Amino acid sequence: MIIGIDLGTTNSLVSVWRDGVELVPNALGEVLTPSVVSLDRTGEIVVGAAARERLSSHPELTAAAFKRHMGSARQITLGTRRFRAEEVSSFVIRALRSDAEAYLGTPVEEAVITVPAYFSDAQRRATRQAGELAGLRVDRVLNEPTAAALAYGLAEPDTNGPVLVFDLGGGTFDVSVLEMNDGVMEVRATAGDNFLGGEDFDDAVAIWFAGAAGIPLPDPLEPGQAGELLAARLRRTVEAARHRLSTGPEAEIILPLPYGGTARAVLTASEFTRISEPLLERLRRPVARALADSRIRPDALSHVVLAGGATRMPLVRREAARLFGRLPLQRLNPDEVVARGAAVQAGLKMRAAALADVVLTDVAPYTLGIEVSEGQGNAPGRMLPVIERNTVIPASRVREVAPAADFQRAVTVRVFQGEARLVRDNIPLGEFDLPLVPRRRAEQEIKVRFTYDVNGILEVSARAQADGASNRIVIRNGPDAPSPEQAEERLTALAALKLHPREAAANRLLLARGERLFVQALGITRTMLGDAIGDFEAALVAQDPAAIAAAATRLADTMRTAEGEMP
Amino acid sequence: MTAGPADWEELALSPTTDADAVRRAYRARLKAVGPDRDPEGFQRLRAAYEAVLAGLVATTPGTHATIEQDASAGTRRVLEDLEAHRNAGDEAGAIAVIDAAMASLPPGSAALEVLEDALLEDVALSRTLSAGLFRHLVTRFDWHDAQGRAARAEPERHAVLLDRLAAEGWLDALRDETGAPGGIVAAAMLLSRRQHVPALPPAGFDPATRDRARTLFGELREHGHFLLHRFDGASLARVREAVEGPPLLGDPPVPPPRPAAVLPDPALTRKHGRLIGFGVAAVITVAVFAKDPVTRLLFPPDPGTAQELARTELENPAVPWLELSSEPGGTLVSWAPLIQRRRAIADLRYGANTAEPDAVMTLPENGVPMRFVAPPGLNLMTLRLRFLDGTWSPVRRYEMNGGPAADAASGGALKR
Repeated sequence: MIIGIDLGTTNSLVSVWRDGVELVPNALGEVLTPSVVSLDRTGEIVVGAAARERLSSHPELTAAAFKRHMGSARQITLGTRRFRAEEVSSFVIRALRSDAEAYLGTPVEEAVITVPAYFSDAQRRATRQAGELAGLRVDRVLNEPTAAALAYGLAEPDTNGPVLVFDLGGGTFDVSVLEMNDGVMEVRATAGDNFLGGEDFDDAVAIWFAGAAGIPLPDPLEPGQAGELLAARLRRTVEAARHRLSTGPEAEIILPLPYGGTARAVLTASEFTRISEPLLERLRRPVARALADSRIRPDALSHVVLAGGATRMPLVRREAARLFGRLPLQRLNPDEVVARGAAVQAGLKMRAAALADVVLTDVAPYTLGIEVSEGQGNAPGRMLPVIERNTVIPASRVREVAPAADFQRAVTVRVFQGEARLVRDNIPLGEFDLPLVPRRRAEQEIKVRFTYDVNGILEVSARAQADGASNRIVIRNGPDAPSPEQAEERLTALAALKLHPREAAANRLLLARGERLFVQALGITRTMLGDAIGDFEAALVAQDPAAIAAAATRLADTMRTAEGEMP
Repeated sequence: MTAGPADWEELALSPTTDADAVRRAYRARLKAVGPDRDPEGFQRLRAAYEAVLAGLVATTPGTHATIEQDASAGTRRVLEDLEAHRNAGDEAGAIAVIDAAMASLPPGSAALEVLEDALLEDVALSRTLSAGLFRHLVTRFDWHDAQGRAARAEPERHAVLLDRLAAEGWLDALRDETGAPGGIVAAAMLLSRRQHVPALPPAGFDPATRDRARTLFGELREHGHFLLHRFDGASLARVREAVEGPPLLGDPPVPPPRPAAVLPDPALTRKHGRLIGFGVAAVITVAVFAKDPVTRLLFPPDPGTAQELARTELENPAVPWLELSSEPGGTLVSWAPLIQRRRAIADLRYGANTAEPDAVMTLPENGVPMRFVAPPGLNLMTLRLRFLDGTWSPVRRYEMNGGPAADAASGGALKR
């Protein structure tokens, strides 16, 4: 069985194809699992809603939005342990996998994982690795807007003609233009911004709030009550306010301060629009690029489809309507549409009979090329595109080059990804040397071949035509990626970390909520909460079902009282 | 690229000119050889499909004639507005004009493309375009993108644009360097005429600073045609003297040899050479630099007004008025050099196959093609300009389509 995984910045989902798309609920019965990971006191890993609660009570042990660091060398700290983004992501995938196994009643070993279409080579490899660290064979890395289009194509088989998918998630923005015709879906062009999503709107509101309420902006990197704890709580409050603004004209933001008093401010829809203006402005460029590359006029589009949770925001929908001069479609739940598409791809992989007529072709999101100098005697540093962006994949392309000087003994083939003219503004992917038999440059023809497969694995080979010398490189690991030995070591280390048992998820969530309230509460309420939490934990340790149930009821009651008293 | 019989066979289609039929055939074949099912077969199918489609005349869905017409009227208004703000030196106002125009035009629309093309053609390469407005245009229209629409539509112009962008980046870095330790050279280079002059070390710079200065001068030379008029000649001269001492000329820095691959395609190199013809590039500066960099750095041209600059260039025999290139269909004649400098031109006369230019010529306006292919009978064009102060220029002769006997003295180095 192959599962589909939407590994999101804010929330993740798992789905399967069984004569149709099914979204798999987690242990709490919800299809959205927050992409948050926390380390608890016993050294076990908590994933999802409970971990999300712990962002406010144990920020130093908890990580969120780590998808933004995928493929980079940046370390994510949980207590005293340090992880790469793909390692933290592998915990989320492990949790999703066990949810799927519980739902299906069979072991799961393969998965289709979605990534933002504009994810780079390194980010895609890191995502693939996250799946492998969770013990899954990653069958396919699928672009998120393409997945959304697959879901729409299935749900509305009459959708024909060019369609634009506008996918604004928690942390990334993608635009894809596709041509849909009777089950054949051809991606024509893709563009995006890897650092634009709902989280950025939260950041903007948090900064505005600090200014409006006259408090210093809490620093999440500074330990303590006024630092990371307050920052985490501010984030949570702000996010809730942003969600309230999706349905109401204004939202009041109230933040109790650890150093006494309460900060408050009212965010109106128009104020929110004003502070979001710079972010909305950034939506335009990828749209323009995707349309220009696809050579499809906006008025020729048959539909504009919204995907990603952040498209729930009325101001984002309004901006999309303004950009396209029409109302966009949002018939499928934007939080779920990518996971639905992942299930369709999994079904395609399993050769599901109902999908026999569905074919999908995708494109390379970036230009791939090599460094050259333009003209003899000039400095190198120019990018020579070999596979241009939005080339339909799989693809194989050859370019002919010559050495810079006569009688050169070797050339260095440097491989880059990106759209800038100079390689120093693009991303290096790897390099290798091709030894040459010295000849005049006119007699020294070198063929450089790029082969790019559907999963974005790039192979580069170079061959000297005169004497047949050749060399090649398969680009699997970027400069920041760990070596195979290190990877093996990490795999063992990660396997030793246990995920909190699935059955205990509801209790774990109750406890995490209690702890979150505890750090916010004051005086007698705080004492009562502390007692109730202590009793509940003792009952959990004793593993006595009756005692656990009783302590849970008492804790829930105390929490209700505490919540009623809080501003 | 022409499609062979094998390509049609791959598509399981008999040759046709119906692009829609080709697309349908491709889609039908995809169900058997999808990229997941048969990656190799898919690549063959895709190659055949692209070859066949490229051979057909591109069919555009629907007609946009009215849109384009409205668009060019709107574009003209925007350009006029922009010009007014620029002439008044109001950069913020000019930026607001651009933003307002973009807010009213959806991305990817025909109207926006007309505006973008006009800006590329008429404004983006103007030497008098302020750095702030230039950057704003680059950002708003995504002109950084070396594979984007602008680069595809106007590769030569776009390349010049990226050159200017690199020059602006270099100037920013130079400004940043003034604050850093060892930034004395950068600071001294950037002094303007009116600024108080700090004393440079009387004994000259230490060797490391001298090397830095030589590197910076070399780089300034590279970006010179975009930047030189923003530097003060006297300040540069002082720095030069502190580096090289009073006697003239040191060796310009020689780039070290590098073992990188180069493009064998001579067309690309030639293209790059041709770029220099575009207005901003001011052939004079480059040509003189190549011979005698340091002297030129001592006496950069006074920027003057745009009109004076354009006139100086028009009077320079090394600057062509027309660009000629041999194309398969005949000689391609471009008015670009004249249009670029039309500020300085009051009147233009031309003669076709006559030695005396007696016909009145109106320079093409925005949106009109500024190139034409010389008809087979046209062998000689003569041109004469009247400048704004009423003086007439000498006659220039341009030969095309083989031409009559060459008269090298008057034509300039234009024959390719």
